[in-house]
Amino acid sequence: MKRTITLILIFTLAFFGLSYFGWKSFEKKADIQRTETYNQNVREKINQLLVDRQIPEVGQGDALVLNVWATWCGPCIGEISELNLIAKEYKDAPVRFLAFSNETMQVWEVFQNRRPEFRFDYELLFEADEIISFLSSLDLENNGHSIPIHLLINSDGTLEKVITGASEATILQIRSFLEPINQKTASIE
Amino acid sequence: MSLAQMLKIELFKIKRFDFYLFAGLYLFLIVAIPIGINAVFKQVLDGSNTLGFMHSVSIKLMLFGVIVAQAREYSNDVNRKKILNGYNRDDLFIAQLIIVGIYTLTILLLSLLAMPAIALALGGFSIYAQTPSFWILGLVLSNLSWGVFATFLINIFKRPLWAVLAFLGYVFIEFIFKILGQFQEEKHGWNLLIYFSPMELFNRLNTFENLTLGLLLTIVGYVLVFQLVSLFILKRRDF
Repeated sequence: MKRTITLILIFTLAFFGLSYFGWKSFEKKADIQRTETYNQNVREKINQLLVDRQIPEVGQGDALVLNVWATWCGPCIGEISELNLIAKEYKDAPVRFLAFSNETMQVWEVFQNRRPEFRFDYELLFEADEIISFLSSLDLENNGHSIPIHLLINSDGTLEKVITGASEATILQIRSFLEPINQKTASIE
Repeated sequence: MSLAQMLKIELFKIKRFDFYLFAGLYLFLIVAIPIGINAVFKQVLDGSNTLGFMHSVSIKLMLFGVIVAQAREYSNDVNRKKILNGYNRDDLFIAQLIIVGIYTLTILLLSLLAMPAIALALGGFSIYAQTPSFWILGLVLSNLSWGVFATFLINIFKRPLWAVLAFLGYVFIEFIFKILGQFQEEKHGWNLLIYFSPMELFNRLNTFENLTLGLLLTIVGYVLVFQLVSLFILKRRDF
C-alpha cells in the first residue's frame, strides 16, 4: 500500500512539475510574441498592403479603427449602426475608419439591393484576403477564427488593442480608445 | 511483485490484435488524413493544424485503447486469477498505470515517426517552424491524463460498453457546461464551469493555451482523484 501511494504521489508530482514547466514555457513564448506584435508598425504594413487598392494610404499621425466583417455575419451587421455613429462623431479627427471583407463587390451590391436602407460609413475594401490574413495574425487570443474583429491602432502605428465580437463592451472600448484623440482635437481647436 | 516484473508482463501482453489495431489506426490516420486533405482539397495544412489533428486522434484512441485493454482484465476472471497467482490488489493498480504508460509511449513514438513523413509529404520541415519544442510534452501529458481517466472509467463500469457510454454522457454534459460557461464569461468575465470539465482541461494540456495556475492545479487534482478512486475500487471490489 505504501509503495502504491508513493508511486501515485511521485506520478502526480512529476505530472504537475512537467505541466507547470510546459505552461510557463508557453507563457514565456506568448509574452515574446505579444511584445513583438504590439511593437510592430501596423500602419506601415497596412499601407504596403493598400498599394493599388481603392483606399488611399494612411497618413502619418493618423490613428486607425479597423474592422473585419462580412455580409453573412449577423453580429457584424448588428453593430454597424453603432460604428457608424462613432465614425460620424470623429469625421474631422485624425483617425481613419477602415473595414475589410473577403467577399466580392458583387456580394456587397446584392446585399445592398436587398437592404437599401443599410449603409456602412467606414471606408470599405472588398476581396481584402491579404489584409485580413495579416490582421487575423494580430488576434493572438482567437487566431482570427471569428469575426467581427476590431483593431485599434495608435497614431504612432503600433497596435493598441484587438477586440473580437460585437457587444456593448466593444463599442465602449472603441470609444475609450478614441476619447484622448477627441480631447486632443478639441484642445488644438 | 517487482515493478520490472510487472512491466515485463504488461509488455508481453500488448502483443495482441487490439494493440496492433490501436497503433496501426493511429499511424494511418495521422499520416493519411493530412496528406489526403493536401492532395484532394489542395489545401496546405500548416504544422499546428497537423499536430492539433494528431492530438485529437491520439486522445480518442488512447481512451478507447486503454478501455479495451483494461476491460480484458475484468473478463474471464483475470483479476481473480491474478490475485490467486500472487498479485496483490495494489499490483493490479500499478499494472493499470503501466498500461497507460505503454500506450502513451506508443503514441509518442508513432507521432515522432509520423512527423517527418508528414513534413516530407507536405513540402518540408518548415511546416513545424512555428511549433514550440514543448508541444511534445503537451501531447504526452494530455494522453497520460486521458489514460488515467479511461482507467478510472473502466474501474467503475468494468464493461467497455458502459465505460464508453459514460464517457459519451459526460461529453454531452461538458458540452452544456461549455455553452453555459460562455454565457457566464460574457456576463461576468469568468467561467466557473470550466473547473467541472476535466476532458476540456486535459485537452488544454496539449498546447498549454488558456491555462492558469488554478486550472493546472485542477487538472492535477483530477488526475490524483481518478487514480485514488481507481485504487480504492480495486482494493474493495469482489473479483
